[in-house]
Amino acid sequence: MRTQLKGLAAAGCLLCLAALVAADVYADSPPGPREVENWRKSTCAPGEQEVVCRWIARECEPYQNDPAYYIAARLKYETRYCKSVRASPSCNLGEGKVVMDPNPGRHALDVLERYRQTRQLVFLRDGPRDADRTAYWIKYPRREDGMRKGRSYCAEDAGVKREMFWAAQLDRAERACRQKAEAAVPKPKLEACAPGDEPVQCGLILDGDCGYEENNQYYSIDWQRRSYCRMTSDHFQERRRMDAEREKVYEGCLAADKAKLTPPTGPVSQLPHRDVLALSAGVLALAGLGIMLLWKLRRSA
Amino acid sequence: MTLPIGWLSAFSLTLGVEAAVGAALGFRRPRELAAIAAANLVSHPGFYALALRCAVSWGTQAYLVRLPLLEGGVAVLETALLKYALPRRTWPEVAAVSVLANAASCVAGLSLLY
Repeated sequence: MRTQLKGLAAAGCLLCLAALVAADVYADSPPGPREVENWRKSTCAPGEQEVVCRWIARECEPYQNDPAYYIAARLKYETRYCKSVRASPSCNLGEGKVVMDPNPGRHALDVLERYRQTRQLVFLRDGPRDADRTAYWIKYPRREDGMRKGRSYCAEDAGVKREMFWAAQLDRAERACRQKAEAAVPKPKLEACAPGDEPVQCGLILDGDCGYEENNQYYSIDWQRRSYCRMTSDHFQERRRMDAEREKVYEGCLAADKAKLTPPTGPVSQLPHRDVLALSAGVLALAGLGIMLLWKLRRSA
Repeated sequence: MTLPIGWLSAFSLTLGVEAAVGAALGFRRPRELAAIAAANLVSHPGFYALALRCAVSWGTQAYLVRLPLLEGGVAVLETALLKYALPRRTWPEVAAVSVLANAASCVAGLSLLY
């Protein structure tokens, strides 16, 4: 009786495990806006062959193993591959100083984040920012790529280069829009406090009185000497109005530019039932085999 | 068959590390090593599927919360399975093997990946 109960409990645990896997894999939350955005903008270059495959499917194997294909985007269970039409130039392994971009912009960070998510770390080589020409270095941590840990690879990966090119385009657009906004609503350059504003001298860094710049009512006229001015209420309102106006110009410009840059959207699909069932069945079968072995070991004890 | 091959390589790594840790902690007899292997056969496929599922969110908060939870669950499950297969071993012994071996295999896996 006790043995039967134990058997039932073990079977129950196995079913729970399989159900957990199935539920986790299948009943998943929809991809976030950022993932979808990355997926959408990562279309293949003109003339390139596009393949969408699921990580669970056999048909992914050729693309993963063929260097002609590069990963353009990864969204949950799907990976979009593009077949590179260009031959890869030789990659000078181990050469060059590999450093993080000393001053990554927001979009560069987005790119880094994306590659972190896809288990690839991207390092930008210190040098010219022209993404189309600069050699990027990529450290492939994935063992299935047949590469060893700890080596940095010259990223003549069209996916990376294209993504960086995209980031650079956005960076340029962002900078241009920022300049446009500054030109439309210029910031006042103050070397002394404006009439009515109260001069404030800040003390030591840690004296607790120096958080002025965090408060919009203060502005710095010499941050090295920690000289601030406290605006009058009218000045403060005016400054906020100008800031809002500038931001409005900037956002409008950037939205228009981004709309021009954004490639067409692509379909987003989820993992089919049969793959989930196959995965769960596989997990269940292996777990069952393990339980049987454990049972035999116990019996022979 | 990308997924089974990926799992097989991950399983081999886990098994190697866990067997080494188990042996270091005194689980050297063939049946004890076999028990470690069998316990892993039960826990590893599910763990792998769940861990792989969230691999796309690597580095995010969700993953950082999820991985230790998964590892903890696996360690508890393996402790119970080892105790079942090796009744002469005490709970602290099997728990030590399970926790340390899983921690070591996790570190080994992550260090290979990153």
